[in-house]
Amino acid sequence: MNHANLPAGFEALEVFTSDWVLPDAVARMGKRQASTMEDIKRFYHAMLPQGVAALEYLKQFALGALPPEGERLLKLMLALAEVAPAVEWYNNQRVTDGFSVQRIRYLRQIPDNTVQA
Amino acid sequence: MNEMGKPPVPGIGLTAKYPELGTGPVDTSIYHEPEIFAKEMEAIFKRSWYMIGRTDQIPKPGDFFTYELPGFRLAVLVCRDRDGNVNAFHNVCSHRGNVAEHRAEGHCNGLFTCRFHGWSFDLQGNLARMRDEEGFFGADKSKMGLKKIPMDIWEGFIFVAPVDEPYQTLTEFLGDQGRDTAGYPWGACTQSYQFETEIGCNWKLAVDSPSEVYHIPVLHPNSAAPTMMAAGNPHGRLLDVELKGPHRTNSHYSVLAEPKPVQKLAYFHAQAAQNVVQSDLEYEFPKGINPTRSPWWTVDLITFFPALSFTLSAHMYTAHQVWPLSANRCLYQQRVFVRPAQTAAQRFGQENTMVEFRDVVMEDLSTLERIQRSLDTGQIKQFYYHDHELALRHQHQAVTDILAQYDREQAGKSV
Repeated sequence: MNHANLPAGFEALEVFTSDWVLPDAVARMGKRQASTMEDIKRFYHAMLPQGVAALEYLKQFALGALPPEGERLLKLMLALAEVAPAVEWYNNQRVTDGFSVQRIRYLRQIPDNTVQA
Repeated sequence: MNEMGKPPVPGIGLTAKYPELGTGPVDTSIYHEPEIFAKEMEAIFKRSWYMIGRTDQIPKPGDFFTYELPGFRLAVLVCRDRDGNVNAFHNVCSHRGNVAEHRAEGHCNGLFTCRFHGWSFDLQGNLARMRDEEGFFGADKSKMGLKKIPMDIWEGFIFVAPVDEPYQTLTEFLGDQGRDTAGYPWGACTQSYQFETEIGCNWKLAVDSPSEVYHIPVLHPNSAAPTMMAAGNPHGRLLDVELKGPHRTNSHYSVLAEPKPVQKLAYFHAQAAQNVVQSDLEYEFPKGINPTRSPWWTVDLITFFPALSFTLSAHMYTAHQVWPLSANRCLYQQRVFVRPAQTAAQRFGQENTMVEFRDVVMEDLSTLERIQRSLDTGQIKQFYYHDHELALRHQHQAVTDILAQYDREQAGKSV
């Protein structure tokens, strides 16, 4: 029986699925703000070398047609998009001296895995 | 990297094209005085149109959304009827004033039913059913439909006016700016994120925020600056500022600097929209976009006075909308529009675009409540504008002129 949460080849990322597979963009934003930079960097540096392979895998599928393990891989990549500025721009969860992101309300999001026209 | 060689560094001289605007410091009282704000509501905001959504949010007959216009306390119901027309009503049940439709968006089977006493209205606003009609003393249902709110559509954007008799038509309101930017593929970016926040600042500060790029090297050193500043434009100067009545366009250029690692994934493996020079556009721009026809063009900020702006590039755009709430409060709304993802990989590119834009906006908004504090406490009585902060100088003049005109109108009425 296969207990893998992710497609074959991404075993090294299994350890992140419990924390970083999240329902939507708002949850990802909250997760970045609530995480330590140590945890964010551990996730970021594990994801980055697998990024091209992950996108090559995801290119094979239309949204809505992903198998569950592929959807989890997509959600890990969406979490990578959320934390990238924390690592690459700010070296902090928060925008440097920024307006608090906790003060914004999302009224509309793009669903993670729904066909788009 | 760009292969066109070194782009020109824009010079000083934008303000000189508009000598009527002067070059001196401007008085800041319009940014904080409650009496001026009250006059702005009458002279500017009640005479404006407001973008509240897009027609592609309601593609099928029966699709609808509701919205309360911030600051105006007007509830609106927008739907598509069986003829395919978009209709907009005050979302007010004609029985006792509850909302006729309570949901934010969705699809109805042809009737909106008030959850108070069950009166129902059809997609054209007619009162279709009064429950237990016999008890209403012969009230005339034909005169008790939902009241229409002035609505019109430009390039798929739904606009409403917050008054019964609009001061001008939507086409007049959008003016040359609307004419010159129609035809951009606005409808191609079918996917959108939207967020909003209340900010303790005058509406004009929120409009100012993206309207000058003099701040880019300092406020956005690691985010926007590396692309917008690259190749010898150390102060982030603009290609041009074009003024059209009260409206204006800032035209930006940049070249692709070395992207950050996750940007590389998004740009090169997930087709994320890049705000860089485009050499292979599949369509021709209308004349109001990249107005100088510069090969170095990347982004325009298209502003419709008073409070709607689009940050627009070849393959994506965002809409900034500011709703005035008081002399020192406003609601800031941001919509990020991107093209549909053909594959699951492109979904990552969309998220990258949104997150980067949102974080840059968080950098922008950081200054606004601090500036307002300086204004409210009388610590800054004048603003000194750089040549490339021309858009702010123009806004100040437009507001001042309209308020003076309004004063003359009122004086004429009282004679």
